[in-house]
Amino acid sequence: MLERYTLIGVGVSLVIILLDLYLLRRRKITGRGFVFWLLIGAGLGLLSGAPPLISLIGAILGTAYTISTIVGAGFLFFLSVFFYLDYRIYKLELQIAKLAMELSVARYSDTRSNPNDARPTRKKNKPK
Amino acid sequence: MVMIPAYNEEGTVGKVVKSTLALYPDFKVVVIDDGSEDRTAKRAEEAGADVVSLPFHCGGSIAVQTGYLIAAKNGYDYLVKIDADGQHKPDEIPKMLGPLTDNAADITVGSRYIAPETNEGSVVREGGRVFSSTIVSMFPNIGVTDVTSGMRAWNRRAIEILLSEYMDRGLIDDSVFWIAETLVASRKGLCLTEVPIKTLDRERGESKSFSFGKKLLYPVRLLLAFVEEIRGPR
Repeated sequence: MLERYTLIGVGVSLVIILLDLYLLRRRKITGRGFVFWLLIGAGLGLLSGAPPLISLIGAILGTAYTISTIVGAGFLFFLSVFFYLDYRIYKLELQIAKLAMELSVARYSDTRSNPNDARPTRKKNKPK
Repeated sequence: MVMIPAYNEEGTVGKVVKSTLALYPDFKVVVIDDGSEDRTAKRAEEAGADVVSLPFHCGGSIAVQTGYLIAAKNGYDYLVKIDADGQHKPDEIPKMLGPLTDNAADITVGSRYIAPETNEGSVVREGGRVFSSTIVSMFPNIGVTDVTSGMRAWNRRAIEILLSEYMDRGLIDDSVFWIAETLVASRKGLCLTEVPIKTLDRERGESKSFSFGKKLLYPVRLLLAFVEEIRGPR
């Protein structure tokens, strides 16, 4: 008979994988995001379906209880995800800054080449 | 071309632009408005500068790199950067341009620490300056006393080389910009020289270069800049 936590873990893992596939099919997720969530779903399923793996992680982390292992491993996992996302945000910020830079220079060049178009005046509609 | 990056400097930018144009009416003065929330752009325009407005606040280093892009696109031979807060004296611009027009250097750094009457900051700031200048000076072709100085001048060769580096490898973030740029210049074989300058106290407000968060991150970013440079281009 399977333990309840195994059933819940495998169930949640299946939901994540199916939702991930659904989002990919609807093109609502990036390729990178798909792989990321697929790995999370698969990892969760593996850990839930194979309790000895949790014992092994517990031995590595030096925890005595299963719950401590799960909390500790989860904390480390989310910490690494946080660092990775922070790094991605930093890179994206620089890319956005590069676009902002090019946009402002293009606007400036445009203003210089067409000084009369620098400040377009909005025509008021005359009442009929 | 003289570039003046500015962020919320409505109180001083007009005066800086006017004094620069009064001394050098033939120079193009371009204020890079870094997404200011006050009337910085309007004050600069009223004073006679060209204004390039970034759509939102991107940081001082992005404003400087925008200046490079403008100088390169418009084919200016020399580019000088001064601060919008009135700390840099426009009458020192010829001193900055001297080594460039003599073909003695590609980049001039205005050093606040060569002259006998130096400007001294806080202990932390001084420590950071001495530490970073010493480490940077260990790289070939670099001998600088004030690697964090923001009063600089470049010739066209330097602008083109630095700009292509930033566009290919990515822009450099704020806090260690001058240090990273000095290292890039050394790697690219650009000749860098220093001239003594004197800076004035800020007329209004506080420096926006170093927030508390940036101060905390500074050693990490500095270390990463050195590691990245030692690793070399990817």
